[in-house]
Amino acid sequence: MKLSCMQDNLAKGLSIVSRAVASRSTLPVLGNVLLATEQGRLKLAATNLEMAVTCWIGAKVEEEGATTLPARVLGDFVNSLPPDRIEMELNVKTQTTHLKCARYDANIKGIDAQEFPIIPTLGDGKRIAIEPDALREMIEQTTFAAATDESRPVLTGVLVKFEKDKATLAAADGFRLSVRHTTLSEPVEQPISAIIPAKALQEVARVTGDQEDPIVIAVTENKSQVLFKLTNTEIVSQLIDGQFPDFTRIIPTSHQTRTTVTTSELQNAVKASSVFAREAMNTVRLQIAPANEMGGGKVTITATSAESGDNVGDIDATVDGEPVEIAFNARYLAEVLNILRAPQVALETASSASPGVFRLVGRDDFVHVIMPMHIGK
Amino acid sequence: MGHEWAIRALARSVATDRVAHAYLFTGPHGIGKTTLARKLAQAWQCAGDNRPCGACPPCQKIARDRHPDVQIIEGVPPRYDFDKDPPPPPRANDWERRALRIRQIRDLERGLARAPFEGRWKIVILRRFEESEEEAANAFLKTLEEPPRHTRLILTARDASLLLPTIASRCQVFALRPLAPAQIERALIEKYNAAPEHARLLARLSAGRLGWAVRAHENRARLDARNRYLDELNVALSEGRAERLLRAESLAKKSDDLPELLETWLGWWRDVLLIQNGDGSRTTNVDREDALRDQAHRFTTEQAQTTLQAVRATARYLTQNVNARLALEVLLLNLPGK
Repeated sequence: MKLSCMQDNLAKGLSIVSRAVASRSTLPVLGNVLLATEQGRLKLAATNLEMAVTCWIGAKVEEEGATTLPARVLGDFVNSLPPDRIEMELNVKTQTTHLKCARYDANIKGIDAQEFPIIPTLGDGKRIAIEPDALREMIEQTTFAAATDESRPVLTGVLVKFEKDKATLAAADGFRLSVRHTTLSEPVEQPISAIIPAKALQEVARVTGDQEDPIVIAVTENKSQVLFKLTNTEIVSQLIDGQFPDFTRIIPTSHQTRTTVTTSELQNAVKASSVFAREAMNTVRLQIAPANEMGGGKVTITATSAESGDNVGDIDATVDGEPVEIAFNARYLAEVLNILRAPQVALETASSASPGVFRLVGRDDFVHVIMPMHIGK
Repeated sequence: MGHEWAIRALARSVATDRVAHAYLFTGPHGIGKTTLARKLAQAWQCAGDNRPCGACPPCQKIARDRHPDVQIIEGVPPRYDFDKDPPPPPRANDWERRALRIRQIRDLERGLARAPFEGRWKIVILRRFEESEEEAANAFLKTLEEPPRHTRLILTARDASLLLPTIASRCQVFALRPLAPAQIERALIEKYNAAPEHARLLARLSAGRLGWAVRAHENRARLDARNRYLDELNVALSEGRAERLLRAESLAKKSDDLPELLETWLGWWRDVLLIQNGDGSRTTNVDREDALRDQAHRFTTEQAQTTLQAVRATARYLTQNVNARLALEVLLLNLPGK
């Protein structure tokens, strides 16, 4: 293998694939990045066997070939190089790659590319095209609700469903549920449903930054892998085996009170209360009062800590229905308010013991359900 | 090599695709349990026609333990920190104490929730399952009974009775038997280029464990250690009490070697007894026949038998936390003398 490429391209490519490098694995080759020439370009790939990221960068190929190099060593070295042309040459016998850039030289020891796992490619699976901005927003509005503890593997994933012209992402961790829909420009022939690890989706969202063309999503025939194809990058993820809980049954169908508030006001009030809630199992209380002769409707947000004190915050609200008091985990509230990207949010509640439902005003493509905390009197 | 009956049964199951979800291979260390497990994994993942072909990329990756979908899990040393320590090195000898911890089972279950990466199956080989901590074994029950689709499990253990009955009953058990010494001798000469005399000795010493014989052939340290142990014994036999006490003290310092030392001595006294009873053709320590014959004459059958039992008792005491030096002093003082 002999080629040359630009330092900034290589550094950028390495930063994209490096997230999939497995640092602590029984297979040493998983700590390496695959470098291979492919149709006049340089292919970079890394995998931790749950997810694989492949990225192509422009290069001048003089001699075809492939090798794998330790991700940390290569990444750190390339990042410290000046923005100039890098020349690379592999000595097949010693599996050592010589790098030359401006007045810097390095020899990096690697592992034979044969050892690297075979990364699946876009087969004949069904393909769906989706706009990058829409996909990124859907991912941001759901993945945060996925479970991080692995006791129920299914919940560490996000359910992704395509049916006719509707795409749905849903994530839940047992305490909250986030569902987001969108409309596809082209309807799919057959419904597809898969559980994709939340980490892989977050990675997809991260690399879609400067993507302009639609992203192609493909699920492989035996339904074990999903592939996201961007212009110069591909992300393959293993699907999670199992049955995702029927989330439609978790969303309450009726409510007693509907409260509409300004997102940023509620966000600030929750932030203030969470200072005290930290020591009280993160509990913040919302007292919702409809308009009466004393004044307009309002929501009072309070938190009490036995040690550090308490606080009260008032915000204006449009309240439809009965007054209610309900408590939530401050972190869950903060996280959902953070990703709404809408000036107004509506909270639907039935009682202090039933789940609270967050919706966007005037839109029905987003639902977030949070289980309430117990209010001791 | 060897275990033809097990291989035949497994080959049939591979050919007809009637496969159990979990297998348990039992037998002494070095008899070929993991080797057989690897072969079975190759047969399941093989891309060739004559499974396992041994030549296709999956087969080769499995042979070198480099296949992403074939995982070999073994216990970790005591006080191993999963988040800080580097992956533990291969164990130094058969007596090293390790434990399969619950954390490893949890990590494994997480991995199994994902579909295989490049193979047909996700295969896990859990070596020496008798070393699993009880909570790890219990945590594993659910997975063992209903593994996720795409999953095949192979357990190995010294003996099925050392496992929780709930584990053994969830697996299809293959109890591997020791090979005949002649078979091992032939294998060493034909496949590993061993000198005939050397091969004969190793085959006898291996007690039917081909893996042991091959490792001893490739690494002289084992045979050297065995020679040292026998020298210690033979010198001790001609010594007086004071010298034996000193010897016991110096031996007790290398407590890691003691199980192997005692096992070597056990084999020696077995040979002495065999010769005394006129069955000299089945002795193990064939390279030291003169010394064996000499001792068979010098000591009575009774003396040899008592010593054999004393060696065995000492080995048992050591596993029960008896002071190693005291135990060895008693053993050495009770050895027959001049």
